[in-house]
Amino acid sequence: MTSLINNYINNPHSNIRQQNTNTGLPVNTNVEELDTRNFLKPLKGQGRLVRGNIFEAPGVMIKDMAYDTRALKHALKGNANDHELGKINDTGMKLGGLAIAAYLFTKKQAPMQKAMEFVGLASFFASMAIWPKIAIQLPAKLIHGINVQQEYIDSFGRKKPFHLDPQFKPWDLYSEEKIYKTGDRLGVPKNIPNRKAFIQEKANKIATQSNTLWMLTAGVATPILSGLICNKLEKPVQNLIGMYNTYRADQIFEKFDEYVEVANKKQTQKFINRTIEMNKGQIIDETLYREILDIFAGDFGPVTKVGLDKDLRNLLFNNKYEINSVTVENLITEINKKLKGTPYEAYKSVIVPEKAKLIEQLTQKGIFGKEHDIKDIRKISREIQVIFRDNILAYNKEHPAAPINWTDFANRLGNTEINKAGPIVKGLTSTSASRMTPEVQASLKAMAKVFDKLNAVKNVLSKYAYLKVAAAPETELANYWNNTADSLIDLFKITPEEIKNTRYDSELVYKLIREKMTQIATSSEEDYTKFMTALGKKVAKINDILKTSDNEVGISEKKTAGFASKVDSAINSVASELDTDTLKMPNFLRRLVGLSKVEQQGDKKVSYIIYTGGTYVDTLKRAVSDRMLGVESSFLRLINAVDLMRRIATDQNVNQIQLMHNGYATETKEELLEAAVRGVFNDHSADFAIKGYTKRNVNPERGDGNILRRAGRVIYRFLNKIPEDEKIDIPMDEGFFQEKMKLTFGNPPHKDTQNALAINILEKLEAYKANVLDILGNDFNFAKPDHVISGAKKFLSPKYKFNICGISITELFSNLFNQKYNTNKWFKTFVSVFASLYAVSVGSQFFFGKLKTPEPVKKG
Amino acid sequence: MISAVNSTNNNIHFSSGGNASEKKLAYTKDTLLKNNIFTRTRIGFDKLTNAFTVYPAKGLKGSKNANFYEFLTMGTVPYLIGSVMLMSVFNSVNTKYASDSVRGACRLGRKMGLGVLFYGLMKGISKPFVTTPVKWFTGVDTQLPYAKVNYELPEDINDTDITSIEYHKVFESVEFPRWDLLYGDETKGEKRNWRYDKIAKRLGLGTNLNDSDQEVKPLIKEIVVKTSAATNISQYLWAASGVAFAFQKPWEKFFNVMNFKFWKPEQFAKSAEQFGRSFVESAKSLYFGNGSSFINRHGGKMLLYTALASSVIGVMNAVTSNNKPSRLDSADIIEKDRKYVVN
Repeated sequence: MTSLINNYINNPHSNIRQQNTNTGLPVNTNVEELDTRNFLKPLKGQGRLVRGNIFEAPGVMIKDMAYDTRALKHALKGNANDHELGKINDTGMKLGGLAIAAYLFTKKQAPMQKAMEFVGLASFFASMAIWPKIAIQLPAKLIHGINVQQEYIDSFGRKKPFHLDPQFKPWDLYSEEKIYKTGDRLGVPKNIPNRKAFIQEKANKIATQSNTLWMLTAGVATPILSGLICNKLEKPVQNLIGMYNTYRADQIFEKFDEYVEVANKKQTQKFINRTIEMNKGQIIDETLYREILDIFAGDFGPVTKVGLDKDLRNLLFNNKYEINSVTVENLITEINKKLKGTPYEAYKSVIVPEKAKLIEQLTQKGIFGKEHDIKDIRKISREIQVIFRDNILAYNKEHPAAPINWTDFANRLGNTEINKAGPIVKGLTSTSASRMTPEVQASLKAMAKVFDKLNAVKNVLSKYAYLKVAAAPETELANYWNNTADSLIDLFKITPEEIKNTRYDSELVYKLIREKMTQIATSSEEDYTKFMTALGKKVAKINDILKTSDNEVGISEKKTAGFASKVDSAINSVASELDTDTLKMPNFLRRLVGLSKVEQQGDKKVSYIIYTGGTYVDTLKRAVSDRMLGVESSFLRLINAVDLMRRIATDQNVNQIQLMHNGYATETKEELLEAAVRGVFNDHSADFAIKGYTKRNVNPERGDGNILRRAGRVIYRFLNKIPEDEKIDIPMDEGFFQEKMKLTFGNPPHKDTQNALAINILEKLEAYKANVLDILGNDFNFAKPDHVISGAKKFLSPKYKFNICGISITELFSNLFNQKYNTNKWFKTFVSVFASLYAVSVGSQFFFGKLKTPEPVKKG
Repeated sequence: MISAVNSTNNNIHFSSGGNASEKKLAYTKDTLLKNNIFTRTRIGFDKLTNAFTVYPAKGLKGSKNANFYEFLTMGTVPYLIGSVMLMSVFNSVNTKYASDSVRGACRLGRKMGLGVLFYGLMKGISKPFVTTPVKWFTGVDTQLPYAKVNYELPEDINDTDITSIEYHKVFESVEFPRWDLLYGDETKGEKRNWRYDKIAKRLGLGTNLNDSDQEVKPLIKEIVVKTSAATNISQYLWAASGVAFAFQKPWEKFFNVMNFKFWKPEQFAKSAEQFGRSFVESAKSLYFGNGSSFINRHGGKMLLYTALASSVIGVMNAVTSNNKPSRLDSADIIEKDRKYVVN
């Protein structure tokens, strides 16, 4: 009300006019008369209750933002009111929050982490708003029928909470009807005296209690709710970023040329032009040459740089050298370096003339100040040796008692051949006669143009590869891995309790997963097929990633018009510009795209690549295919493990045990079976390299040769009879490793597995098994070199063997369990705290608003 | 519903129980307080204690005497509990994780904890970055406190304690500042306008003004509004700098040896020593940044300079009045004791 009075005092005319209009009183413009106490009576309020709904929220938000902006403007001018200053505090808090999120954004590497900084900020502010709504406002409304967070807009357009100040509440904004209706909801008897005041008092009490409860609980609730929101938003945000990255990658692939055009920043041309401008007509010495080489080499890597170095030298140097004062100085320095520490060091001044004298002598011989080719250099070298020899002979004549041994001295100076350059040749060839001629400039400019294009192509391809499969979060491959791994918990029906009990010990994880797999393997055909179909469907999603990339050297040997082809076509088309009549860079191209061969085909000479191993292009392609291979192998390994268990349980496609090796003792067969199962679960590429070190019984029980099964489960009759420390690895038994590999990877999948996977990844599974059998089964090493499957030893890189092996199943589940446990532990703990707090907050509100009801008015 | 305000202690008794338990009031009327460290500490302690004890008790009972001041004071509760909770959210479960995850979780959790601490610290200490220079330049102490004696309604028939003390600031409300408290007490020989005279002089309005209070009130109001706006914005930017400071890598060295057991002096000293080293290294790391990108190298600097700029510009804006009258020559000022002839 004070605000209304204030408004009147500041601007009496406008208010009075309103008053008169409303009441129908005659207009009186006499201010003095108006300013009398008689006339001063409460003006009709212009405030109103805020009755918004969710659909109006965006509009309200914009209005509020406009108000906040106006408030800031007023405050900076110094004429803001209290309400506006309060709003600036909120603005400051949001600004500070944004500053924190923005700074932490810069500190994070992955897009997901960056995005979560802003998600965290938004969730915190959202939690501050949500908690009073769900824990205070909603229960109060349901229990008492009162909106304790009701807002109103006062006569000056300021939005305020109705129950903010218990000593000032504009009850006149509520109609009597509404107040009485609230009273009915509150259960206030209808026939009590001063019913309206009592209802208001009761509502005030509830509001005060609710506000206090809000203050007491918000501190605990807000950070937890914010954390819970973030926790639940992590996955969707991750998927969103993954989808966005996929979209970007696909766009790159589809509009490749446009992206290359944009990526071509013409940096090489810029730097080369600058270097040319600064060195026009100058001699190209080693320093300048290195500068030019570095401009072109960029980030091509040392191997490619070697080829570039060779070609650039051929391009820039004309193999002529200038003999000038710098050359002479370098020559003397080189000789002095060579003589250092030799008996001739003391005779240096006797043998090697002073610079000036040497220049004089070379001038007399018509050598100084001219360009010389390599043949001349050899001659000049000999001339200089003659000078030295003459000096020695002159000395020896004067000092016959202690002569200098010319032959030995000459040997020490070394050969005069260029490729075995001694100090004289080194000195003489130190100043190139090559100059930055217009022809050289043109070549460099042409080369720079091609290199800019090449760099752009390279960058766009790398960007594509990064978005698709990089070892970074939120790439398409990373999302595939996370989603597939997560789905395993449900597929294998693993309970939170099992995760909790096994997560610390990988042996326990192994036992649990083995048991789960055994249950699946021994289940009915229908159940098994259902499981395998679901697993296959999940794993097969990798095909969606592969559709635009090419797993050329991977499992399937399937060549598609994907990434690898794009790399070849894009780089080759630019690289061809470095193999023209005017510009030839064979050494660079060999390291960039591979070894080429030219063949005469009719009238034309056709050049084609015959070997690409170790080239830049190969590295780029492998960066993608290796990553794909590692991920794909890991999940195919899991499928193969389930299939192996199924084959063992049903005694199908396990002929290594039953048929081929009837000569084996029963205990050995059990050992073999156990080693195969343990191996498929636990072996790393290093275990394959040592041919699966297995502790066995040297005197196995022969038994009847049969493996005992009960309801599909193998019952070991002999395996664990002798203590573990009496068992040893038997290195001479080459058949054991071979049979183990064949059992796991050599047999075809079970028919149920084949039926389940036929539509998507059966082909890949078979290719994977064949590859592992071939690569890891034939791995050569010094410890057991003959224990190979086919006799054809393989020498593939450890990285490739690591990728084809995939992650061990135990490790896959151990990591998954830890991750799940951590997230669940945090979530469960704080959900419990939050739920308890919510329950207390809601429960306590049932006790709010207790007031002694006045005695009803007695009738009559 | 405006409660009656009385400036005397009425010693009202509503029961026959006598006045044995009568409360001795620290103040009998609204009293201006000195703005010094002792008063601020005392007020802070009083408000904090009440925020956690008396006010929640009153509020939960739904007392008719609960008021907006109490509600606002209780704002400290979610702020402090929220800070502790935020630390807890990132730290309390960490040790339950698998061993290889504990380290990473603890590193982040402790940085978060330190971030919360530095947020509060920087928010608290950065207010004077604006208010103190404004006081130096203008003589207006925007943070000047006073004790308000509040008379309440009795809760029941036995309630004799109907007074309460609230601590406000003179310029807490820019619409209704407590101008009255700034007048001198003439009964004590003070000049009525001595405080306003001082401000007028500092603001360059001259001395011996007839109505210095009327002259400076609009200017004070303007200064208070501008100062308040600057403080509200800049304190959060400084707080953000505090969080950024806490997220520097060198703090991890401190976390490795962190020890608060002061009763074990050797360990505690080592921990404190490392704190000092990490503090300096983190400050450097925040300022100079690291990494190859521009934003990594200069992000910290930008944040610090933004916070600094918000304080400096805020002060400059506050001390530059839009309404200040132009400086008058002494010849233009009418002196009371001199006779003038009007032509």
